[in-house]
Amino acid sequence: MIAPIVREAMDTIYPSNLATCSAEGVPNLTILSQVWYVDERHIALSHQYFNKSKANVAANPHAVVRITGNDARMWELRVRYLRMETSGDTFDQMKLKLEAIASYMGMTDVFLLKGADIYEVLRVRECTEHWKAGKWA
Amino acid sequence: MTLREGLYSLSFWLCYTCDRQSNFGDKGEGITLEQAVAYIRQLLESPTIGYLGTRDARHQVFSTIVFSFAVQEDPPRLVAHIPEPAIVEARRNLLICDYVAVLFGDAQTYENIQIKGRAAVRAATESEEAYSVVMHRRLNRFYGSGLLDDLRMTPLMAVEVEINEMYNQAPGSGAGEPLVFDRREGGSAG
Repeated sequence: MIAPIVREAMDTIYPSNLATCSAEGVPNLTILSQVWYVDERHIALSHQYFNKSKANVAANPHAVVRITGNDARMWELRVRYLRMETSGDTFDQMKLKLEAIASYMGMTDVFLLKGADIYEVLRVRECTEHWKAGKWA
Repeated sequence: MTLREGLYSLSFWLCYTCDRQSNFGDKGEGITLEQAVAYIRQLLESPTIGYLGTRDARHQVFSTIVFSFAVQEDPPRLVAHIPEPAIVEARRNLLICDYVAVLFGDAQTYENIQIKGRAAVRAATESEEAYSVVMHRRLNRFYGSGLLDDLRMTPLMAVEVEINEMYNQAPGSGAGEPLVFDRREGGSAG
């Protein structure tokens, strides 16, 4: 389900975004530091500070991740929260990347990965397809 | 993107996390609505990128990317400029629920804030279209990647969002912390 071009877009200079919705129906947005490819049907998001997002997906597990590729194509991943992992390969790899950066910056005590939030990818859609110049009448 | 570029990009994010903590004062101290508007105005002096969050009747959330923002003082509103092709779903959702979230910030430093409030959409004025062109060009220059080259930016719509809730969205221990100010326009915090 996650095509190679979408996987590449998970690791670009453009900020990624997680959108959730509370049980009361109030949207919430946050910037993501890591969108981690797990397999063709799952991604992981680093859980560091997403208190409101976590509360939202606990009540309403459906969310949206927006990513932008280096080719400027934008993708919407409609996802469903499954669980948080605090050990295992995905968590270890995400933690390693974060620790490498924190060590480089001398901030190892500040940036701690609380968990790897695992999401099932339900649908992937390009957001820019209908938006290109010349394709919009 | 190479690993080095990735580390550089993320290091910006992490640097900002530490630098950002004191910008809004101590937790609970809060800022006034005037200070909020002034802060937004200052933030908009940098290349800015953000998102508009809406939801449908089933509480499915939608995120629309935004490349141009402005702030107005009376009444205090954040204005997001969004090309019509990109706002189809958001306009439909606004008919169901007009309480939205807007996350935006400095594309270079990752200094971000989130605003929530009631929103209304209208056609952009000619001056807003001209302003938006400047914002788009600035962002394109910053990324240097032709991010917006292939996207049609007109006709342009303006989404006016009341500043009812405002949050520090800086990555770090202060992320999601509410920035309290004197609300003048009511509305549910949700």
